[in-house]
Amino acid sequence: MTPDTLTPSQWEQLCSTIAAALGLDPTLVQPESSRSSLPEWDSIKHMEIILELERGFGIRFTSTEWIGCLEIADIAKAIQAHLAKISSRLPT
Amino acid sequence: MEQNAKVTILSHVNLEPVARFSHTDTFELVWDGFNTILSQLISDHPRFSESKSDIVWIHLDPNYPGLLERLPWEWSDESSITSGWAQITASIEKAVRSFPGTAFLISNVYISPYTPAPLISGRRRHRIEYALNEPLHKICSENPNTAMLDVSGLFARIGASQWSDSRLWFIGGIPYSRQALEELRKLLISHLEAFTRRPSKVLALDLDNTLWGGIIDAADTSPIELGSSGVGLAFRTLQDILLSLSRMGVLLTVISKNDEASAIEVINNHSQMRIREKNLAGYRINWQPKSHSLKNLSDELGIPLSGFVVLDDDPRERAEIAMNCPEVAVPEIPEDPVDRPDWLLRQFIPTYFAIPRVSDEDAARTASYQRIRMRSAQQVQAPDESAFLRSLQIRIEVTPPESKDWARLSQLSFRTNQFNLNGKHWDPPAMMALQETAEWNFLCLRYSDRFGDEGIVGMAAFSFDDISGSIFIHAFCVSCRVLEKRVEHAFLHRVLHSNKHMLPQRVCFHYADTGRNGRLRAFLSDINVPMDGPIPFTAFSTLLSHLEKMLP
Repeated sequence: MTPDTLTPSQWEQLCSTIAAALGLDPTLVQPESSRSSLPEWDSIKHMEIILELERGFGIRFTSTEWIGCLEIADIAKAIQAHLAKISSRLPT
Repeated sequence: MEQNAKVTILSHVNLEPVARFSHTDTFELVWDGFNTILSQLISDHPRFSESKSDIVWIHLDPNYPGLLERLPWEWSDESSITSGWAQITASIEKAVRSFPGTAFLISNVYISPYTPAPLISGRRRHRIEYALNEPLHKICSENPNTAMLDVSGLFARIGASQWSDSRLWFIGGIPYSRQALEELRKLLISHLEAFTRRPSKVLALDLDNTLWGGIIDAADTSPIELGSSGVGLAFRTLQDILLSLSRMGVLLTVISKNDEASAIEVINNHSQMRIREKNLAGYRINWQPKSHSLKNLSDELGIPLSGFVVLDDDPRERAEIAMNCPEVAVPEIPEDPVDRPDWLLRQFIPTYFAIPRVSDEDAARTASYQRIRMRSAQQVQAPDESAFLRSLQIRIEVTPPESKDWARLSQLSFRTNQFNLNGKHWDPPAMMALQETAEWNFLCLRYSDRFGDEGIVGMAAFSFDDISGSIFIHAFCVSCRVLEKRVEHAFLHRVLHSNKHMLPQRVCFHYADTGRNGRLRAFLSDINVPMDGPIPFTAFSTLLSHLEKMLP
């Protein structure tokens, strides 16, 4: 299942980034995965994931998102919102 | 230092990411947790000791809460922090002295310029930095089981604006940005490796387009590029950096395809040259292949080719050396001369010449190798070996090490190749801890002759077992600078007689073939010491009689 918030390739990028940071097989990272369902996902790994996603997507999470994104679906929504903001600023 | 050395990180700020992402095959990093630093330093049974850590990294950052009562911009002047800081540094010193078997890596400190300016001016910031760092420097200079990690220099290189990430700090308690953490990790690992690696000893330099721009050619009288501006300044800066390496004990040599007289004329008389003939431990300036010149220099200096690194701008020369002297490191150097000084400082020196501590002997090493040449000339003139040895007027002194000598003894254990019993690298902390026991002894050998004083040139570590009447030689190494003068025989003789209470019955050498210690093996063979077999003991009296026949 691919959430409608991101394109399939963006979703793949999100999952592979999280899987790489956690040292997991990408197939183990699912849309419904969360910090509580993946024991490898501790606070230091969370930091690494957030920074890596910022670099990969060219965005900057707010501190609220940083703390509040406990599920992959939350992260996907936040990324989508930042990308939408960026594209709205681009000249048409 | 053992492989898989355990490193404990003590800090009042969160350095867990550094610990988590810095594991290597050689080091296991352990994060001790937040705000435990002071309690661990003053404890008689700190966790780093109970977990048998080999190295403790102490990282203090007064720019963040949890260390001193107030933050830097609240300090009226350096005296306002003296009392709190003195307590902290006293705790560090107590730990360093209480655990001589542990190596301590201590970060120096910086003060961030991001303060409510102009409350803290640049001048005051520097004075406060000095006041904070001075006690740390003192601890490092007085205790051989310490080294300093230049975090202040790293802060300057990265820059204040890139150094921190407010989200990491306010959300995760991590004061540094991802880039700073990564650079801090690299700095830490390079220092840890410097504790364990055998640094290269000799830097062999090309001349044309390496030490100066252009080519010396009798037919072409255009001046070389070397001066106080432009590309000439880049070459001169490179020479300045190389000269400072020489003061750290690296031997500078020249291998060049050139006319020797013309090249030496430039080296000695060009007004902008920094490296002069007196700074060179040796040179080969001729038209031979450079691999040939390197082998020649290796023989002259008594240093194996594996201790050489070459700086040469010409890829064909580098390829010829790599093919014919595969043991020699021949890094590719930046094509543009203006890029080379930075490259030397950032990549080249940390890779090949990282030296944890610099001893007095290091600073004098080039002159020492020049004296080798003078002794060789003397030997050629002497009618026989006895006359040669008499003419040198050798004086040797064998004494237990003083506290300032441990670093030099450690250095001898990992820099000496040819005359080294087993190649084991001895740390000052490990030696100091063993010296405290009743069984273990360490001796150092000092050498001087009519050509000069070589300082400490040999070390021995040995233990006695009074019950079996045995002496075990665990380390025995002598610098190749003084070999072939029967000094090694006299040194061993003193070691064997160092137990004043009894003469042992038998001697056991902990010999191991390192692939490079052939001269030591030949020495043991000459005095009839067995090196193979399960317990290669030699009868003390037999060994002594062989040895005494060979004393000068």
